[in-house]
Amino acid sequence: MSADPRAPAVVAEDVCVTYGAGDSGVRALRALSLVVPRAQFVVVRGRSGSGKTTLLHVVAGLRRPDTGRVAVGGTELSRLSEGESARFRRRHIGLVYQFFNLVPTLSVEHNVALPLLLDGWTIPRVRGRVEALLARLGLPGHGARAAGELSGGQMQRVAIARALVAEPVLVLADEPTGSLDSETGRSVLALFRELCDERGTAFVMMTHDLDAAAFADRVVELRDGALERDGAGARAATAAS
Amino acid sequence: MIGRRWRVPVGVVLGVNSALGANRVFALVTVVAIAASTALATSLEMSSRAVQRLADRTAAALAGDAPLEVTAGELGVPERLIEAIAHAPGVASAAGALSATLTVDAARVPVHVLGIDLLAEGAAGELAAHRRGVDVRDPLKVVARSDAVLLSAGLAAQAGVGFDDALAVHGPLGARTLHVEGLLADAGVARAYAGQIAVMDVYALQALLGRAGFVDRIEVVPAPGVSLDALEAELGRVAAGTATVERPGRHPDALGQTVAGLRAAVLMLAGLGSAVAALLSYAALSTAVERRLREFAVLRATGFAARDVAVLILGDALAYAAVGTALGLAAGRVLAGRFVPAMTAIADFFVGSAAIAAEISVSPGTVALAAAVGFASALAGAVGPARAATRRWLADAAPEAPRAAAAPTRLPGPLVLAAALGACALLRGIPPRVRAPAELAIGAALAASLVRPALDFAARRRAGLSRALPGVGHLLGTGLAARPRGTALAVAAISCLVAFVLGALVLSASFGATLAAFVGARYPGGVEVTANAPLEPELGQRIAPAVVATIRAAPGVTDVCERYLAHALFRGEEVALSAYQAEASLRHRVFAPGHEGERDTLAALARGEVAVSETFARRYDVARGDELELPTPSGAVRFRVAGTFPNLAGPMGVVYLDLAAFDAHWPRTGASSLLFFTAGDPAPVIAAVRRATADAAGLFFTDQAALLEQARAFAGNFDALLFGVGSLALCLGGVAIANLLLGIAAARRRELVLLRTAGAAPNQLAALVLADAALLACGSIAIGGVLGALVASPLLEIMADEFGLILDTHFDWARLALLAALVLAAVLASAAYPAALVRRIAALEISSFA
Repeated sequence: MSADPRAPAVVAEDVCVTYGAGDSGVRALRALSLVVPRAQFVVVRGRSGSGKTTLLHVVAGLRRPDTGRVAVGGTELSRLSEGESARFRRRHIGLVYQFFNLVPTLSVEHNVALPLLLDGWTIPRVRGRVEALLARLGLPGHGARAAGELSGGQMQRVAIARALVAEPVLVLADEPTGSLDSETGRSVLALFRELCDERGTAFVMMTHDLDAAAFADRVVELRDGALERDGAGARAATAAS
Repeated sequence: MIGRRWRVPVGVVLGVNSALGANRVFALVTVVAIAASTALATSLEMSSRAVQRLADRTAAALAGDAPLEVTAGELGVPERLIEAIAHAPGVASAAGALSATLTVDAARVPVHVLGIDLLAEGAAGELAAHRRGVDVRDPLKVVARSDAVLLSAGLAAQAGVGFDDALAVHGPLGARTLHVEGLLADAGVARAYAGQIAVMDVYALQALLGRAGFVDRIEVVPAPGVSLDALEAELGRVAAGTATVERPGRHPDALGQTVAGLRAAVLMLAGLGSAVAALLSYAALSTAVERRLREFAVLRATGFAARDVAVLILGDALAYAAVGTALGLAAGRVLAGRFVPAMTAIADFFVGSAAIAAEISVSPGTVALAAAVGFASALAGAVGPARAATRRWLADAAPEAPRAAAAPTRLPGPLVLAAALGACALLRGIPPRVRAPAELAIGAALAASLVRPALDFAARRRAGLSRALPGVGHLLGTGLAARPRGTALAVAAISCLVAFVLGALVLSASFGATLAAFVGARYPGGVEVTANAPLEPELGQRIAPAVVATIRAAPGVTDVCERYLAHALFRGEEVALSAYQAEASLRHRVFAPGHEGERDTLAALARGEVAVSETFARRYDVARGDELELPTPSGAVRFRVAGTFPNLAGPMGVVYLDLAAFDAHWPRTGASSLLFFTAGDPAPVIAAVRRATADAAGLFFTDQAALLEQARAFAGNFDALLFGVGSLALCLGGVAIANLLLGIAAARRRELVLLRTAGAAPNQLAALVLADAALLACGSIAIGGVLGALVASPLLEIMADEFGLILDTHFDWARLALLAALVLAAVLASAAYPAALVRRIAALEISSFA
């Protein structure tokens, strides 16, 4: 169940997902195929109902596709049991949400360390790693604070730290700038870019944010559950030129 | 307007939706809780009322309708006094009455025989009321035959006899055969003692009992227009020193006192059950409100008035209450049937109406109690959630923003603990009946106030917790912290229940240990002979003088100590007189061996002084050196109190005296019991005595070991009652935990989904719920344990005040450990469903929160 260091971060082949059945069924993903190499920052765009969130759920292992296969770091998710899927997710996939989804009853340190603690690590063992990560994300000394005491931008940084703490192959982000003002949102996108370069972690971000493309290596556009466009991001284009 | 116009149909639809839709499990748990608390209260009410009604009916039926009576208790009033009373100014008629308990050989059951003057003019009128429906061919024939008896129809059927048949009985003078001269229909006196009653002519009964010249009481009917107060005073002068003049039923008796104590316990339990049910109702409805947040917000936005929303919540509560009360009442009726035998056994211990069954019924009072417990608790629990629901607006329906974590609170200073302990200390002076619930309430409040600081303390120790329980240890208590008010209420309720059950266990253990010590010390090396089953001396059967003489002369018997038990009136109440042969008692250490001053007190008894039981001394504030005045046939006699002895003889207590002193003042027929001693193995001696007494006297032979066994069996009745009540209390506690955990699971769903997306496996979430439950149980057991030990003290005092049982405090550690294990098991079992529920939470639900 460990990730293969040579395998791409994400391999999705002919993935189909349908909600409902018969005439009223909605095809959320139609034979979608996508490969995301390691250390790539991919922005997935599309209108509401285009299949972005369904794609995120399938790649995160939260939902099994009706047909097709999805592998993360070389591990095919559909072969994992419920428990194995949970263990794989906490070790190899980080998730960041629009509404941060921090555990309000835990401190910042415990929120960040959550995937490792669930994996049986003790707090003293994770403390160093968490402190370093918080410092890297501009929140040094915030570990003991209650999650609910932070600003929106700080909460999103804590959520990003939680997504990265297990040093995953892949970070999936669903509208991570949707609840932030534009300046804070840009700082989060810049942070994703830096972390992608620094750590070699692949980032796949679902967003409506047009500015996001400026930070991405690649921009994928979905329409009615199918890949409509797959091109280089502004950063890649700039690098190429 | 929309809300008003559509209120009824929309309200019904929404009500049905809320009760039967998403909240099915909550509805079920709440209904079960209300039903359990209602069942607890009503079952105890019905069973105690059944025993009380039996006692009241018996007292009323036996007293007749004479407004005054002259009595000296069981010791008897000299017959010559009837004439003096009858001729006193203002008396229309006066008649003697006598009663005794015999054993019907065929049915092996006791029968209460009432002897009345069938020919006395006034009493005849009084009796006539009871004789309606009595099948008597010739009333004069009843009076003419010395063995004629009128038997209740029920008892006749039980004994398999009918009109004109012979009825073999055992009385104080041994076996006798009576003649059934008539049958009493099921009315009036025939309903006393649940129908185990017979009527005889008073003079025939005197002969049967060997009490010629004495009656138990003289029933007096005043002449028209005579003031009862004046007549009471006048008759008091006539009977001075020999008997007391009373209005029937005025003086309290042991049974009434005992049942009153049981009923007081019912009130306490009903209050406790209601409080727990209210908590559960609150938890269920507040969770329902949380889950329907968006629905209420939308309803308010579309025109529902705040009152309409409140009505929806209160409607839910009423529905729960109606179903829970009905189920609880039905369950209470069934449970009452289980409690009655234990209650009658306890009452029998003091009163001696063994094997008489009380009838259970649902009265308007029972229904009112059920409704009070069921509806009041449900509605009390609904007020808070209903108020909360009316404050929901559409803005609340937006996806939840992160909630601020509660600011950590410090551990309460010593002041809080000192205040609680100070309050308990102040309560020391008040009656135990009030103190026990007050201490429970203070303890519950303290327990509730300790929850938040304890959870904060646990939060600061997460590093240790993560080491102790890898994976989810650091999350331990976070669920409970998410619902601090619900957790505090649950801890308070469960602590109270644990305290109550623990107090009851201490009571039971103390009772068993005291009874065993009391019995175990009494008859070392001796064999007790009784005409009643052991530990039922109050049944009044006597060992005939001839049988006593036979036993004394039996080969192998080295010594005999006789005992005679009777009842006398002291300060208007019926107290037991227990006459022993003091010197023989001293020789064989039969009497309270090792008790302080035993030897001196017994020596004083031999000189004609008396001793009193500790209960008597406590009740009448009598101490060594005081004097007691007791009525005797020859006038009032004063006795000096030489000391006190422990006893378990009921709330009125016992006066001890030497048999010779008794014989000097009162008539006596045979012995209530006797002890004989042998030089060696008592078995062949018992066989010899049996042969010598022809085995026809129906005697019971009991050595110390057998008596201990009997005592254990009796204590088992006490245990059975406590076990039933304790089990219900534990069920309530289990339901409370299940309710709280379900509420937590619902309230924390977002957090649990988040944990799943962060990589928590389903089993880890289940483990978290179980660990929270265990944490809750351990905290409640610890607090409840301390509280229970505290409450045991007033409970023991209640036993002394209400039941006359002065018990040595005894902790049965094995049973207390079992209680802790049972509570833990009940809590974990209660947590099983919430744990299974959270196991099913899918990480995919995260999409519904974003």
